[in-house]
Amino acid sequence: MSESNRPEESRGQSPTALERPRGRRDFLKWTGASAAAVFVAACDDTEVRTITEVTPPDTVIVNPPDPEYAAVTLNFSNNFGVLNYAYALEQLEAAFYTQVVASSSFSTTFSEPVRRVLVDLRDHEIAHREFLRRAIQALGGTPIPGLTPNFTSIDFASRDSVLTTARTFEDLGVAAYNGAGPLLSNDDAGRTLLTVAGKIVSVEARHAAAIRDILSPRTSAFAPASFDDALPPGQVLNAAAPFIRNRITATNVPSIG
Amino acid sequence: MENQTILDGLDPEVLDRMGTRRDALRKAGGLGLGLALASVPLGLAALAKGAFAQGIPANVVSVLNFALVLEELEAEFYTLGAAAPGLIPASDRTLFVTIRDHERAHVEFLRDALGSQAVAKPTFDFTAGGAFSPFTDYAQFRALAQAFEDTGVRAYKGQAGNLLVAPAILRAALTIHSVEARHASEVRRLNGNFTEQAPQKGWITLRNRGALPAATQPVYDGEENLVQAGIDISTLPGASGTLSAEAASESFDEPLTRAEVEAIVDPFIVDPAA
Repeated sequence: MSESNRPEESRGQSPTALERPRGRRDFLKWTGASAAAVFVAACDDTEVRTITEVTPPDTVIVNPPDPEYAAVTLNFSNNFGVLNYAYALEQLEAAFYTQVVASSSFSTTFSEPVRRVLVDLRDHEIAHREFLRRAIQALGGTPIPGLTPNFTSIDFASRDSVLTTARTFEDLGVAAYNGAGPLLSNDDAGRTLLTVAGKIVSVEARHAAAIRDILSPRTSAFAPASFDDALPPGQVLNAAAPFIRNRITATNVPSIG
Repeated sequence: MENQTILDGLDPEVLDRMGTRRDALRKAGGLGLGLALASVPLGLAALAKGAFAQGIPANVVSVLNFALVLEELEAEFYTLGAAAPGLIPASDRTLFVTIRDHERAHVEFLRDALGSQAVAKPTFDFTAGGAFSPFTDYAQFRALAQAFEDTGVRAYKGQAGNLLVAPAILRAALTIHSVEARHASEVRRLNGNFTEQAPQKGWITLRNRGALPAATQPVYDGEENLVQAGIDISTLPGASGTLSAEAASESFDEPLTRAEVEAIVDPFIVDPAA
């Protein structure tokens, strides 16, 4: 792993192998402007060769390829990329709260008021997910496939584990929508979609505040700053990646969100 | 120099060189436009010195001034409330002081952005001609706080489309919009004693104003909308069966037009800004 970060070697190269693999087992690494992680590392006994996949500066790749899970591409050059990005995040949130509420320990882990909140959040995120898929289709786009969540790091029987994960997802959702809104086209279609995204993001912010207040009642935690984050897609996808099995490639990603 | 802001000193030549919107975004990024919450004001300040800031349409100035009046109203409301002896119980003080400080920061940010083009602060009357006494009656203070926050969320949402011409400004406005929604959620839940039950949940159920006085109904009219981009949300599959109308309405906040917002806040403004 010591060789894993040498981006200077790959800058400006085309996305092909810099060196052909020779050994039976090769040292694979992935670098580039997106600072993607090393996915596979195995060294030949006698020699180390490097295959470098160079991603252009406006491409972000998260998660290793896995034939079991459909690879997903989000192309931010048009509104459908933004919509599918939102659809991906809503899939993640909906799957999470669905599992939270379906957990056999749901009624013993959470108080009744908190259960009401979590059931509402489940329903809202399902509404967002189902809406976005249909909206993308209705507008002539192609929704990305269903993502497979990876919730192995979450203890669904733990109040703290569930609520801190919920906080992460809600804050991330707010920052993602705030960052993505300005990427919509400056025309009637973009304005319409921006209004719809605005209708969703404020509900995500309401969620975030509620979850934060449940974790830290009546403190300033519900709104930790005067201005929320507005994160670019690359940062959001990297934050979401540990909770998703699928490989996601985002193209034409602006450097700021 | 104090008045040299993002809205002053148009330079059409520079504007011509800006190219596409996406290029403009990248250039704004190159100027150090911030991503993180703390750097938003700095970001727009950096923008103020940059080429992209030149030539902001009058319509955007107008939208920012509209937002400024709403933020001034909120900031003064919480400032007076926090200063009123015995009004806010200790248990709720952090909550309202937090909101007050955020509204003040929003005012400061918008004033900095607008510079000499900012409107003067209006004179407010939070009794609305004697209808309310929010600074001696805590229930009324909480009720008006909820009404102002829910209105603020709807007001920013209604103007977002007008800011798409200026993505960096839109981004800043969105980062305020979602903070107003956090405030609204918190005050709403407080007003429901944190039992998380309709009609006093953090989110708005249909057009229900909950325990608020009838005069606040225009704050909630339209929130019962179930159809988004031609899709009736209440027909979509939920966890079991279709989503309820309640959940469908809660899932999407609705915008208000500028005229609708002005009609809501006008009773609290006795001397509009010049």
